[in-house]
Amino acid sequence: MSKKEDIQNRMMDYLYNELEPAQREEFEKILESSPDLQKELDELRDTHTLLSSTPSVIPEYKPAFLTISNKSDENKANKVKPFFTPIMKTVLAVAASILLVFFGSSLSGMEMGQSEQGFYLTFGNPPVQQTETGITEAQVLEIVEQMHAEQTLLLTSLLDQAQRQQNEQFNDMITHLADYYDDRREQDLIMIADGIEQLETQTYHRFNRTNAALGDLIYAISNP
Amino acid sequence: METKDDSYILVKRFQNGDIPAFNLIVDQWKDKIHRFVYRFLMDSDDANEITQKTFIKAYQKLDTLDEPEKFSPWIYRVANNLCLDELKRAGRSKFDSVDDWSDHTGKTKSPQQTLEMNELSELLQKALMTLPDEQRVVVVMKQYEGFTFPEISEILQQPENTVKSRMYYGLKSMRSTLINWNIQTDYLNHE
Repeated sequence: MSKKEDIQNRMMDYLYNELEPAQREEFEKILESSPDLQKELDELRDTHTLLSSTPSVIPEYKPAFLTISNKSDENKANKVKPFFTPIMKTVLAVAASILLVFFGSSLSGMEMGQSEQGFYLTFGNPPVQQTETGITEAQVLEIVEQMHAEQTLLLTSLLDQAQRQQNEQFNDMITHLADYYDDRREQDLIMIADGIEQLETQTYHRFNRTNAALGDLIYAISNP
Repeated sequence: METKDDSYILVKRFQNGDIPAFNLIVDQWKDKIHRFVYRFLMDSDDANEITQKTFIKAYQKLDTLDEPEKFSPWIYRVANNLCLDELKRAGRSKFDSVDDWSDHTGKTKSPQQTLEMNELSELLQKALMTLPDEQRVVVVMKQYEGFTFPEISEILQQPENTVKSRMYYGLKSMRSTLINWNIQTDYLNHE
């Protein structure tokens, strides 16, 4: 950085009061010894003061829409949702499975019941009661708990997936909206440009005709 | 300072899944961003559009902000980049009529009339539009938004000396423009 640039930068720091006290004092000494520099600083300060003291008119902000979550809910509500969402697919799959089990059981003679050892599910005759002890109650509870945990995990995963999908749909919608505004704007600009070009062409032809008529008139007057 | 702390908390909440917190971020920042964008582009419709795009982009990208305490420079950077994109897209065509302004102001109105405050404000805004984009954004951030040079440097991701240099030449250029337009106010008559 040259010395001139250094002075210019320090002048900006001085003007906007961003110098340390020691640096400020040092710069003021430089200013005292250089009337040209002092004059330049005064001029810049005048412009700075003019900009600061003149109130500027800022029009009101008019957003088309800004509320993200509320609007997104409305958008979600307004949008035609696909019937086969992941949750709906899961529910339908479970319902179909239950129906299949009932149909299958009626066709194959499946039987369900409870014995001393717990529930049983057979095709044909019920199982012969066995005297041996099976799994303990504690084990059953453990298995039930494990199944419960697995089901919770599955449900959480499904809900996460649904949430992600909805977020993606919303993001896509916003992107499409922004693109749509861009396209519409570009089309408007092209239309305006075409209109101006057409107007210019018409004006040019009219000028030519007027010039020709004036030329004829002048010739007729000057050569009676 | 309080605003920055509030923003930090709101950004953290949003990043942790509290989506409605984004509405509070928008409420807190929309006027600042709109004011900045309007001063940069000097067009009401563009300012509305770019402000909206800024928040849409912020919504999409806020998860990638590693330092929530730096939300302020980040959102201004997003807005600035969108303004530059808009200028590039529009090819500056809408701002090419600055010469007409100088004709209008310098020849048809007396200096005394021009001194009316509302007209002066309008002229200052137009003078601002004569600056190159890279100088104008620095002047707006420094003069109107009140950022320090290190903060502007961080927002624009430019060296601090470059920012100061652009401010210096921006102020000088604005002064020359106003004098060329016969704006001889007491402010500029330093002798």
